Amino acid sequence: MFPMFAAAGVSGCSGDLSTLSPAGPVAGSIATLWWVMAAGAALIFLIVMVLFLLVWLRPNFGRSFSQRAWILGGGLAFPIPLLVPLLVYSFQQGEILLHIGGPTETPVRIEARARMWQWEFIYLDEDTAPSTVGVLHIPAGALVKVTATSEDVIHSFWVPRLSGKVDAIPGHRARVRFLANTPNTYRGACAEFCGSGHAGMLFSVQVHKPEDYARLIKAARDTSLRASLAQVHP
Amino acid sequence: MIFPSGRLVHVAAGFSVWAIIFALIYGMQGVGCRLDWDKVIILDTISLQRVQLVALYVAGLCVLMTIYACLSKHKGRPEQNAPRRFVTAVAVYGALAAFAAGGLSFVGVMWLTAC
Amino acid sequence: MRANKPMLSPIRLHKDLSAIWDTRPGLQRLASVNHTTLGKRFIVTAIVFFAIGGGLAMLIRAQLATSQSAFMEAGLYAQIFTMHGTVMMFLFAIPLFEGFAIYLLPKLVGARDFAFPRLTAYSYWCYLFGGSMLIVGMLAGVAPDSGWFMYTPLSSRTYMPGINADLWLLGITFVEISAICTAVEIAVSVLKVRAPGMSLDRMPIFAWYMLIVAFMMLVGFPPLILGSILLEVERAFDLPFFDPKRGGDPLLWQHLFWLFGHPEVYIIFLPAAGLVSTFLPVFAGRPLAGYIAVVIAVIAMGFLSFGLWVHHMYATGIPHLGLSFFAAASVLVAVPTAVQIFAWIATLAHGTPRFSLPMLYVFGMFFVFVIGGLTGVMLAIVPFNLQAHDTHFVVAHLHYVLIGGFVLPMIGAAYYWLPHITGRRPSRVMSNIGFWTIFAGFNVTFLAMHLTGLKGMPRRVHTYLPEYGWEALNFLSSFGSFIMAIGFAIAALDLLLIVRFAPRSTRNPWKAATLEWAMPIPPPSYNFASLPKIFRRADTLEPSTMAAELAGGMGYLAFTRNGQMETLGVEMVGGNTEQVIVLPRQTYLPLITAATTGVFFLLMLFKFYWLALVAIPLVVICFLFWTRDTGLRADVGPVPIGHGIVAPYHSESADAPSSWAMAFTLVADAMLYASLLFGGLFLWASAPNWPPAELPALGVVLPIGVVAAALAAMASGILALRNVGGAVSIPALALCAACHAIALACLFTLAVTGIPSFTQHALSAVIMVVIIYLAAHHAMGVVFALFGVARMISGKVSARRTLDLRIGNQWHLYTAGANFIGVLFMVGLIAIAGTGAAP
Repeated sequence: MFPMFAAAGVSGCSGDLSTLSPAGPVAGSIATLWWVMAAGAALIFLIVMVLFLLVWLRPNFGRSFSQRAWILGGGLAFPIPLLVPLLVYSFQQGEILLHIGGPTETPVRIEARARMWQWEFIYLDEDTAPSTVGVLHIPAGALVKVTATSEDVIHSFWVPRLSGKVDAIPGHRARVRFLANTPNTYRGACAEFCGSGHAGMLFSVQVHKPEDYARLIKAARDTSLRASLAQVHP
Repeated sequence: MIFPSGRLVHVAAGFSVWAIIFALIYGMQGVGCRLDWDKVIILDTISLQRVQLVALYVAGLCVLMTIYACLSKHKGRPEQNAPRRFVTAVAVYGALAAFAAGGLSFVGVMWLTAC
Repeated sequence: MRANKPMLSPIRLHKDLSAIWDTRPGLQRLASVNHTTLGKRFIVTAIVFFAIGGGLAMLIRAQLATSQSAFMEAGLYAQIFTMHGTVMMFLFAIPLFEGFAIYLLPKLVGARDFAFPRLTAYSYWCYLFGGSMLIVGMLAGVAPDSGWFMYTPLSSRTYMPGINADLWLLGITFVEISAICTAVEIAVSVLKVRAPGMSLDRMPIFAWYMLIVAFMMLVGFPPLILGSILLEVERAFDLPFFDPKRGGDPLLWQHLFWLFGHPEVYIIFLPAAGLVSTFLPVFAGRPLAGYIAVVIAVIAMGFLSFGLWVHHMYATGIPHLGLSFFAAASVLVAVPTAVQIFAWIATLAHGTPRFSLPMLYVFGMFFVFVIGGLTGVMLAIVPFNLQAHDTHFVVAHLHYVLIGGFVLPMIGAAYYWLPHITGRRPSRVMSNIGFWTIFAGFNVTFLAMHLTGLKGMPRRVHTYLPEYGWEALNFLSSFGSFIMAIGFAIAALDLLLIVRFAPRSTRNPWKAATLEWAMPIPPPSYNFASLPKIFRRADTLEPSTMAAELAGGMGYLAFTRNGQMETLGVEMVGGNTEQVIVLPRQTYLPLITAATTGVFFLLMLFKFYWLALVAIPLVVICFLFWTRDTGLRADVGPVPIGHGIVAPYHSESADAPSSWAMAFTLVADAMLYASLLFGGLFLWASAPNWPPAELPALGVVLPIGVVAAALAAMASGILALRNVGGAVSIPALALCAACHAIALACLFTLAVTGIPSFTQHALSAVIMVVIIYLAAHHAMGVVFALFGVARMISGKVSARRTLDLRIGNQWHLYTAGANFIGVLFMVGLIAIAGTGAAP
């Protein structure tokens, strides 16, 4: 079993940390939001620039509208109908992502404990709360709730292909919920500057088939998972 | 009449109140969470936290509206000279903008997760 | 301008005024207090820092150009990116717009100088010394290395034991003193020191922008100053404000930092926008459209910008509702920005636009800033922000905002006012090449970087693996950045060549309609040989005709009197003449005072804390020397200003600028205090490990004693003012000083007896700092009261000349209020400390 994890751990392809190739519903809905906003922004940019170039380089182009119409139209009537729906939509999306899975589904609870410069993941749902260092194991298709905290300075837990980031702050416990669609290995990084080891504070997330995950956890309970997994991924 | 006419400080009246409401609502949100008011259910699913924040929101909007109304009374008064008229106009439209900003800034208190 | 027979020939007038106003040659330049000179010094110094910051940026791009680069190791890279951000924000952007404002504002509003020329000089020296501290530190290899945002606990003593972080905290606070001084200077001068007839609705639009920016600085900078003080105190004396193990909270730093940090972006953008609003109409051939809409939009931006700081903290676990307020304000701020942009478009639409180099930079600004604004709206959206935050997407966004919203328009403004500053005419060819090189290089660098960020590259990593797929994009960015650097070098060389070799410019070469062109170029030290009367909006004037009239002495104050520097003060709203402001002459005092201030910071840096404590009274003594030249020894009454009009000297005026300066300083002071109190409440609400094992016990007697003494001090101050000239006055002020001393003694006793070890828990630490804050105010209260006594004895105070006493009373009033609130706060915080479940 362990060699299987090891093999998956070292494989890594281009775009491992890309928010644009999401591998779960949370990152997926944010990526969609990005593409919608990017298209809208490109259009707004074009409109403003074309107007600017026309009024600048083509005398008399804009005279048919009064100054008042330009300012109220461009300053209020143009942005407000775009911004308000975007804002309300984002509030709604934020709520959905915050409570993804709903109140009924019980998440797999994991604590991400950061220290200079490594991540330790503690499996809170298991007896004796075993932990792994540098690699997080989760089941595919199941809701996962990661609670981030730190033993020293501020770090930030981020698996771009699965969800947005959450800061690991000493004395605080911030949470993030996400799902991974299919078994695979994803990369994670520390997103908050945390000193000279910041760039190397990487980790990987191994998503297993539920039955594999169950077997892994069973093995973990039988033997001391803490020691054995740490050995695989020091 | 609450305000004397055409004072310079009026140009900041609306948004100053917006800023105070902002600080108050954000502060009370933190205080409510600290004291677990979100777990004190008052009615059905409505918590004490929700009630106090919505109350602040509504009260804040009322204050902003009142400021706008009071300032508007000065608008177009004949005894004002040009500079005073200008200051009054800035104050009135500023208060209106602050009211609109207030309406949107804090609308989340109606339904978003409070703690 | 009304006909009025000039008393002196224009040449004679020029000679007389120059003799008084000119900066002296040689080493006496160090004594200059002239706003034209100091404005230029600010600009040149800021450009030097820009070159340094730009050089650091090149090092960053060299490092990131390839994966697994061996150019720099992590520690050095951390110093480099920390210094790049710090230099660009604090030592380049803020001082550069300050320089433009200092140079231009008095000229635009028809004054001979600012209200407090020595303060401008002090501000410059603080900036120069504070900035130099940081650069020297960098050259010595101990540059700050915790990021320009200095997040705790990384910047705390445990993880950064060296002096690197102290260098940042102390150096930046030193520079912030400069910014606060300039803000007071600008706010008071715009409101009080204008040409007669220049009512608020006639002010040039740039004065409105700077008025609002000045207030934003007064409110926005104190939170950072407080944060820096608290962090330095934690590092030096182990008071645990940010240590979660002892009831502190790293998030408190983030709140204080970003409460400054986000308004800061608008503080930087608005002056540049104000300059564009000043020169764009000139090239459109008509006045700015929507003057009132722009004023309202700038006020709205000023306020809204204080409601979005938490969008830097979305990932810290703040409840979604809390985030929503900040998301909403972040989105809303786009509306007044759009109003501003469409006011420019409307101006062009209704004018007959001319092509010119400054307009080319405006085109660059539109292109770049609009993209930056749009990505800004994206980042305001919480879910997207959680992905993009702390990636290179944000790096790209902020450079689009700051270069588009600040650097490009400022270069445009530099070309526009270069004929004014140097008296020389810009050329075209090289300037155009410079612009297009910067523009192309910039977009190549940063447009690609959005994608780098979305592909997952975090900020502040010094190396990355090739398999992430970031290498090509990074190489492109690095390539573009070197093109951009070449562009800046061309523009700099171009500006330098113009300054040295370009042909003489005619007066008012752009056919502008604002007052700064109603003078010879380069401008004489006194700006206007006589001061104009303004009859209409000050961007619809005829500077060429006015210049001749004013030089010929047909305006006000067309003479010299007793070798004094004089300019006029007006009533704020209506702009009616109110007073003759007598400005202080050239002096070394600002330099000496700034040097003494610098000694304080150096002693702190090298941990000579007791000696640093001695340096504070020395700074106060230096400032007391400033007052020797001010005030009158006898009542003079209204004096003539020309055209048969008389006005009192400012020392006899009921509404002198200095009392407004005190009021605005107290605004900043109050904001510092409010941030401290907010910090205390925040720690209670948010920090772990509350309540402390042992609560402070303040008792009843001492707190009441403090408040009573503070109220008595205030009352005796009022009594002294009411009885000026009477027998009671001096004893009343002496009593005022005594009451402050009693309050000081009470606070000292309170600190010694009431507080268990203040290094044990943040609660005691916060209360300790509140006590120190109040004690410092009482100590200054003693100084103000005794100063009042000295002024009365020396005959500088009379029933008509009460300015010194009124300023003192503002202080006593504020101190009394601060004591009342402070005691309530301390008692209240201790009372609630134990309540509720600790988070």
